[in-house]
Amino acid sequence: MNEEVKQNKIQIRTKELLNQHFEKIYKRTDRMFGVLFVLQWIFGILLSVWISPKTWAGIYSQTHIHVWTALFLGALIISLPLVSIWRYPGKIITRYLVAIGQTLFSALLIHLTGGRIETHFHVFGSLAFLAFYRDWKVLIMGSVIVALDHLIRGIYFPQSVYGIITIQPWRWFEHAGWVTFIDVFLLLSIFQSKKEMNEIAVRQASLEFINKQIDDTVNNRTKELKETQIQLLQANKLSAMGELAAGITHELTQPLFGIKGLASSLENDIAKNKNNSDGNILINQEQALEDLKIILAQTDRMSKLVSTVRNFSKNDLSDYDFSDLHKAIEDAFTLFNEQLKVKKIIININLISDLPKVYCNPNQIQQLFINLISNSSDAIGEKYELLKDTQDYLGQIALTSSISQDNKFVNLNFSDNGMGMNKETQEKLFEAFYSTKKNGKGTGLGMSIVAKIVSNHNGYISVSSIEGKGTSITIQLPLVATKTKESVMKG
Amino acid sequence: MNELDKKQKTGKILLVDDEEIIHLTLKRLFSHEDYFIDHAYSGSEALEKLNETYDLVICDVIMPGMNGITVLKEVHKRKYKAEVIMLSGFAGKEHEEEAKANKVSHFFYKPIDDIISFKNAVSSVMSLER
Repeated sequence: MNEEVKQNKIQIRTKELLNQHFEKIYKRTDRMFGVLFVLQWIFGILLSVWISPKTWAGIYSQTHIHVWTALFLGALIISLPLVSIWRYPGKIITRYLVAIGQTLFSALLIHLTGGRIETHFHVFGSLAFLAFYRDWKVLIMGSVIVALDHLIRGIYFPQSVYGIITIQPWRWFEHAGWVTFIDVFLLLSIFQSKKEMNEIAVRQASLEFINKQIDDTVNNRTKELKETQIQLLQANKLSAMGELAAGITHELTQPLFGIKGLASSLENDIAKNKNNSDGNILINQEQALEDLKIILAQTDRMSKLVSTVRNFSKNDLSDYDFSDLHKAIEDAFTLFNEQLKVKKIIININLISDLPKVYCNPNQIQQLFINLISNSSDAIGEKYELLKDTQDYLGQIALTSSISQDNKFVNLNFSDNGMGMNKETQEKLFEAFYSTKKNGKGTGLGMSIVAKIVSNHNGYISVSSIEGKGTSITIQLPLVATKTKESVMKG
Repeated sequence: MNELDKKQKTGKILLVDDEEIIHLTLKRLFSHEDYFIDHAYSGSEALEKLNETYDLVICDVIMPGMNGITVLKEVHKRKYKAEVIMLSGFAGKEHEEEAKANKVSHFFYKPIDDIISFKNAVSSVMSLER
């Protein structure tokens, strides 16, 4: 992203933040004035009642006009801004109506006290309160109302504003001067405060922008990491496939040879039959049927193996679903069938029959077991090599499945009676690129990928091994669907 | 029609392979011949069964336990008259070279591309005057 676009984005966000801040200030100040108006109104009435409750004509008295003024004129002055505060909080019209209402109320209080100087100070209070809006136009509006009020009442009703009957024509000018004096300070404070608000907004917008950039970077890195993990699984799978290819090819050549041999024998028989014009040699139907049956059985065998290979090479390492866990494991053994047979390794599988479907990625599970079988097969091979034909040793790989007592996990116990591991190897077992296999045979990724796959499924793995005796690995996978890490990342 | 097919041939063959389908197929390939065919499913079983009466041993190379090359060596070591034809399911040439060094009669790769030449090889071995 270039600098100009970046600055532009920050600018837009700054404006947004400032507007939000101002709206908050406007609404808050509106509410404050709402309360203030009511309090001032009550104060005005109490004041007028206290100063001059009655007006006397001889012995007759009646309620003084000021009391009524405080009650009704006061109500009239505050009613419009109150309605506006209630209906349009934060709006510009409300601020102006408040400015007018507040300064007029100052004027009313001055009138009620007969122009006493103390109530003139109320004007300063009003202006200070209006400055809370941090809107210089509102302050000016209030000040103009004050000046006009002094000017007009000074001409037509000077007693009300100055407490004297004789007119001093420039008296209003002095008051306006004081108002201007305080306005200068209030305006300075408003501009200073606005400047600070702007600085805060710029800082926040920049921070938000940087945070977003960091978030984006983290997200990208996480995505890349996930892709790398998938690639690593894929690479491990390819290397396993390479290792298995010879065994699988060998296993395919057996039925293929069978099919070819039987089909060619059958073809031969039929051809002979055709050539024999006297029809004495009839094709042996029993034999033909037998041949075809075997041929079909062999094609089934090949299909099964081919589809197992195809399923394993499919690139669906990231989809999780409720799947047949046992089938995934058995498929792993199917791929190793020939290799294990040739290496004279006995397979002992004991799986429970009523395992519910497990939330997993079958392809990863298969890969997990291919890594385990591959390691065990090598460990047994080493032991065979070590013992040669001197012992009655028979290599064995065993697998059992069971359900944990709390019904929450399926336990898979995988063991072999191969060479086992020493302490150091056991400690470094799950480290990537740690390998004890000779001649660069192993990538050192197998067990780290096993651990990764187990953790992808929120499972647990534990290993126990005795050097020279064999290795036992227990894997626990949750039976209840838990969100896998990858699906969390996806979501 | 092949010349060799016309006349009936007799003789004794030992098939050595761990796969049942190979036994079935080889037996079927020679179903019109008058061979006596015996079966062994491992190298060690082959060595137990082998004696001087066999004319031919058809033997897989890679089997669990003892491999075919050991059987081949043993046949010559015991100085039996039997010839050995080997079948390999693996691509590696090293088995073929080792077998040839140990006087194998013929070496074929499964699945055999040319069944006729395989049958001819068997026929020619079986019709050898010994």
